[in-house]
Amino acid sequence: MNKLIEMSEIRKTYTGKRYVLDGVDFSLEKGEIAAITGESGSGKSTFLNIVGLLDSFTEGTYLFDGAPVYKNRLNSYYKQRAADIGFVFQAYCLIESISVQENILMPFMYNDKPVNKSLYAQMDELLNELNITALKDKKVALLSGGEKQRTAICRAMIKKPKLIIADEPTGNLDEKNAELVISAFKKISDLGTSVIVVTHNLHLSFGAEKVYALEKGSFRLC
Amino acid sequence: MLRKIAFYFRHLMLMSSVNKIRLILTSAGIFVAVFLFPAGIIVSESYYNERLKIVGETAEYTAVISSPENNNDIKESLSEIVSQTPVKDIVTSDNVPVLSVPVHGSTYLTVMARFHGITRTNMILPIICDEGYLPEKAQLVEGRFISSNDLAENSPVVIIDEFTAELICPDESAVGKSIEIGGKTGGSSTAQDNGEEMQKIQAQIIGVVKNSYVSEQRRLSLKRDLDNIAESNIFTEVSVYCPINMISEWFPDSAVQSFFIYSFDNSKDYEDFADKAEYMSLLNAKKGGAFDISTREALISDLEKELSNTKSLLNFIMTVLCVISGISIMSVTFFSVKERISEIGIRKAFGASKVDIVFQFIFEMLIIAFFVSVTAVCLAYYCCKGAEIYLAEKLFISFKVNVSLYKLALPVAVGLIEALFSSFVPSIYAANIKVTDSLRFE
Ligand SMILES: Nc1ncnc2c1ncn2[C@@H]1O[C@H](COP(=O)(O)OP(=O)(O)OP(=O)(O)O)[C@@H](O)[C@H]1O
Ligand SMILES: [Mg+2]
Repeated sequence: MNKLIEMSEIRKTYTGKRYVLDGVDFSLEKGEIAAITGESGSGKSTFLNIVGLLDSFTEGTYLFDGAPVYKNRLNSYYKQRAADIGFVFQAYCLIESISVQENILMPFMYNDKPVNKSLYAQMDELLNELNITALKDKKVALLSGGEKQRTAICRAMIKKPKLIIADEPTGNLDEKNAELVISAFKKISDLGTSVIVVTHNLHLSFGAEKVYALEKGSFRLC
Repeated sequence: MLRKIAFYFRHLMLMSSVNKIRLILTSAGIFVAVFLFPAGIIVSESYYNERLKIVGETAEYTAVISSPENNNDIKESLSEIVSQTPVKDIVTSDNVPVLSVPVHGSTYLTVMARFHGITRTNMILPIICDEGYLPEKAQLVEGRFISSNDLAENSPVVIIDEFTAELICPDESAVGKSIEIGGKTGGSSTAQDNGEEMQKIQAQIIGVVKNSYVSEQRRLSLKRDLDNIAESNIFTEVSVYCPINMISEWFPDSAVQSFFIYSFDNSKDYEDFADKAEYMSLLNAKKGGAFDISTREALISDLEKELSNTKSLLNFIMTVLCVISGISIMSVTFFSVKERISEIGIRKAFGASKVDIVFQFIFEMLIIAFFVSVTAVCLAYYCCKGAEIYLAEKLFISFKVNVSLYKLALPVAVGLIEALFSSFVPSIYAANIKVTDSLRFE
């Protein structure tokens, strides 16, 4: 069984009236990259939240790494969130009051992976790859949008999760830095991490095998 | 593993010190409750320990039987229940002037002495105070104690304490000097009357002992009197000890009070005797031959009773303060939860469980509470120390800070418990916020 994610007939409504997701079928292999496009407000972030076990769905079935996800038991999936999933939020979602390094290492408060020399070495390597080594000890509140974005990417990647979910990870980046990010994503997927990325125009350069367009609450394969 | 724990704690510490206002408000809340607590404890404990000192030096398992009527029959009736010859002390019930000196204009200082006749050669000296008769272990600072020779030959010798020595011979050693019973008559009319009535007798001072608690209090109160240059004459009381037979020789007409001291080796015999004597005292009271029995335990329990009201008042104030500051801490924590909602969401998105979030908030509060409590306790301690110095030097009031470490640990524990309780509800609230909702705050 090589599938990390299997979803069928997922529906989601916030209000009870309009279904933001209305019958989504989606599956993802290990090490695979999937790109998602769609208009603003089409429900891309909603979908990512559900995949990332942050939000519940209204109807449908969802298997994460072979195990069924129960929509009413979100609070009990903290172990998966800690070890298996790395999130890059559209709004970065960094803790503003502490430094870049503290933010990047924050997930290790909650997973079993050791905090040792090799972890610090990996962090330095990753910071270097994303061109933010100099910002290591800077407070996040003082960073620019693009710098925050790369910090968030670094935080998601460092724990080597099974799945990275990235909501417009290149949205605030110039071409040169976007390419750095894209190659980092490619590199990590080669190591077996699956990636779901929301992107409007760069999906081809991600080397995504599948590109989905979210339209009227369901996916259309492009 | 250790590295991980260190990392974990560093991170939590970093977060707890991020918002200065929150930190200050929380600290202030805890401080208010915790500061007054140790201050109260220190004051009441010190007072208690100070008062206990009166009793503290007394010999254990010792019962004192006193008879206002100087009834020697008591001894006989008590011999029915105990086969022990008691030690006998006699105390003159009147104070005798021993010194009268002008201090300021027409103001005179008159020293009135109460003579204690003792039958022993050990260092146990009786002290008569509000609490009753106390056989206290004395400490010789100069000279010698009353010897068996003195007792046998009825030598006209006396033992005085430092306070008395200071009054009688302010500039030189008192040992070898004599004390003039009847006193040098001064301007005081009382002193004059007494002086004319009484023949003047010289008693040789052979030893000086350390001040008892009572003498120390008298010394301070005299200092206060001398400080407030009063218009009226000043009197002070001192205790003088002599061989027992000298009392009847020196004061043939004076009324005296007798004390019989029974000592025991163990608490069982002692309690047994105390019970029986108490019963007998009741019987004798009906017959008209009443006597009093005082024990060290009774003194301590009296003292405890006296202080228990103060303590319960203190506890009540403390509880009220704790509740008030608990509520204020809770509101500060709630405010901080609101402010940190996105942080909570981020942490949960990266794997923090509800327990992690609850733990984080409580942990932060405990750390703050610990440091604040310790600071408050130290500050309270040094404030009381300051008060001690001020009272002693400016007002001549003896207040000694005397408190056990355990009693100081108590307010720290209270601070921690308070922090625990008042951060519990807000942290549960924080832990239950939905991730997607909290990230919306970004
Ligand atoms: N918590 C919520 N309660 C009510 N409605 C919501 C909530 N979250 C999202 N929505 C609605 O669901 C729809 C989808 O939102 P979503 O954030 O998934 O869009 P998106 O595709 O990510 O858009 P964008 O490209 O602008 O980020 C929107 O119409 C939004 O208003
Ligand atoms: Mg979105």
